[in-house]
Amino acid sequence: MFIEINPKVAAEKNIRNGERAWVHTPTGAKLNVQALVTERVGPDTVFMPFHFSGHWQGADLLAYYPKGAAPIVRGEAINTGTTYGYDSVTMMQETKTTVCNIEKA
Amino acid sequence: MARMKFVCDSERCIECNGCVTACKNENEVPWGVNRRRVVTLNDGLPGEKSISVACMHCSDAPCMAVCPVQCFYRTDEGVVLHDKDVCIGCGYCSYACPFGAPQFPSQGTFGARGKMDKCTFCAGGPEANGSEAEFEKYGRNRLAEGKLPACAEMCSTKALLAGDGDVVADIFRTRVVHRGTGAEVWGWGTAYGSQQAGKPTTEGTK
Amino acid sequence: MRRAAVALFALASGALLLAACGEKPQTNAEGVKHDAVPWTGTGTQANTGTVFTAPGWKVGEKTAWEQQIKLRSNGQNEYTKEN
Repeated sequence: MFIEINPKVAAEKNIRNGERAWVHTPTGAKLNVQALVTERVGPDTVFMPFHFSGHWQGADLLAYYPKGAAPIVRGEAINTGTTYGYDSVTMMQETKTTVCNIEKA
Repeated sequence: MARMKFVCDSERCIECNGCVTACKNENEVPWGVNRRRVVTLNDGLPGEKSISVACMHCSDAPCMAVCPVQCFYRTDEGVVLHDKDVCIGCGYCSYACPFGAPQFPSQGTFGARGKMDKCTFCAGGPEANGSEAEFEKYGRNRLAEGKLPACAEMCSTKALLAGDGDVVADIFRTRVVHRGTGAEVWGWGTAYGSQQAGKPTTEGTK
Repeated sequence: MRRAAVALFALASGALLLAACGEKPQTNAEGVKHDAVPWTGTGTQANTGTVFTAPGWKVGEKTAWEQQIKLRSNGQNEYTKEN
């Protein structure tokens, strides 16, 4: 689980590529994820994928993966972090609307 | 029939890695081997370009030239294949290839390389077409089923073309001629109907 | 002590020297790569297909296969589909 951060923002927050970061969202979630510093996102945006995980309630799940099959980049899943909007038919989260705060872990 | 070739249109490639996933899944590629990879330059910056790279099935293949046990052969369609039973895992082909196509699984003890694995153009190997043994060693034989490689068939933007070299070159030429230059390459005029940037297409729309 | 060491050495070297006896020869039986041509299809019988074979061509015929591949390659050209 990773977060794509713009280099300008990463410099402000003293986060280097590959280091861990905390993501705080209005739901009260605190997600520990790995930072990917890239120009792909603008200075006012961060990007996190869904269906990526590796941590559960703060604990690393490395021991639960088959040997050699664990994701190299593990972090808390986004599920607890997304804001309240959701699709009424599929129950999928409303994407690209969550406000968040990033800080160095 | 002309040689089988791959062409990847870097203007259309969006780095979705659909080709990578399709290949890995269809051929059950061993751990540590990435038969097909997407290379991206200037990620996130203007002028970002992506291209999907696998074995290019060269007409004068360096891998074939350097192999000490002659495990490579080329089919009549121009597909470069190899025999894993003969391969000794020396790694010379990997050094020789400019595209990094021959790769070795990462499961060997003491760093032993094991058998070389590479893109087969979904044409399998020396074993009987479509047999269990062929699938275990080389992956799916799609050419013998009358299909094209999984990567090209899966490409979401048709950036990656595969098949008969003449046909593929023709398709690519049509595409380049049609789409023009400048912003029209991304279809600006087609989408917005304006002549602001590049020539809008005249293909019966609006 | 010395006899035991010599015996051990003899055993170890014997095992090492015989290690290659279990290996299969590394050459293809026919020497030259023999690969079936693609148009013979993937079925267990000669010149037959399976359920996964693309429909629309006669398995076993070279020209039929070439046509099928050309057709499928042309399927990648969306300029023929747009109006």
